[in-house]
Amino acid sequence: MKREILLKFEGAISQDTLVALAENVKNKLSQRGLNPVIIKKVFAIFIELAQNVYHHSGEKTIFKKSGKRVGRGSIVIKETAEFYLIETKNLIENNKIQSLGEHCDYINSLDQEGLKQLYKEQLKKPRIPDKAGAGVGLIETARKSGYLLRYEFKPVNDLYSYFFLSVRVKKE
Amino acid sequence: MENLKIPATKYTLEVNLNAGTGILEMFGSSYPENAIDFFQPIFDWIKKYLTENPQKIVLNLKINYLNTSSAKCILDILEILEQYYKEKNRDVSVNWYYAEDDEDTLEMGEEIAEDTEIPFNLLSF
Repeated sequence: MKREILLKFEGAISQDTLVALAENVKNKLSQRGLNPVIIKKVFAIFIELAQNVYHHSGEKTIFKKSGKRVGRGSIVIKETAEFYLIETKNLIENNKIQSLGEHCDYINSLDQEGLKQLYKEQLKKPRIPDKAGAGVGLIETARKSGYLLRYEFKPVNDLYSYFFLSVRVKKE
Repeated sequence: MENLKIPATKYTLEVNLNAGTGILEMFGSSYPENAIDFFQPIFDWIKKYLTENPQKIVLNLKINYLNTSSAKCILDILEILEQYYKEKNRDVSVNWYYAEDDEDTLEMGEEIAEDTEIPFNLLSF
């Protein structure tokens, strides 16, 4: 089976856009008669990765009416014979590359039990002011996936690089 | 004290907090861009309610999906209630409902139950 694209979006991932995409994902996966557990995993990873782009992309669209700064990037869901792949691409400031890379590597070094403990620890930590997320999106993503996070940075210029992330969910 | 009722949207929970009965209910899915904005009025209501020294509180959670920042807010609510439970020794309990085929929501409930001292019931429907 060749790779089939279930969904592709490129641009500012505002909350309204996210909700529309999320409903679309849920409907498409439900129509395939998949195990509901697999549908929920793909859905959950999709939301976490899309919200990572929203909050952390180095490229923002400013919506004047709401005053919101919404991250831009692309998100794709692909289906292969064995897997669903949820993939994002967004700009990131070069000075954030090292910590993000280390975070991904650390997650990839842990087994499921280690990820669970890390998830719980991080979730209980006090919030960092002005940071919207819980800081556990990628940990949760790795837990749901059960596979390594595949990522890559590609330099764009002195200030920015592209961050590519690919996460898989086994179909059965 | 007034009850707090928030209708559901596609990405936020239905919330019914009843000061008369002590039954606090949240249903549905939650993945707003900024979970704190949604949950802050709920935290405020519960904290104010606890100053009225209620004898019995039942938290009914029937969750379909929580993004991670919403999960953190649910843990915050449990922490507020746990503190009350331990300090005042009142009758506080949580009912966590999950669909029978929804292992994901069952697991989420089990993990939360591991870390709270409040009596925690996992109930399938």
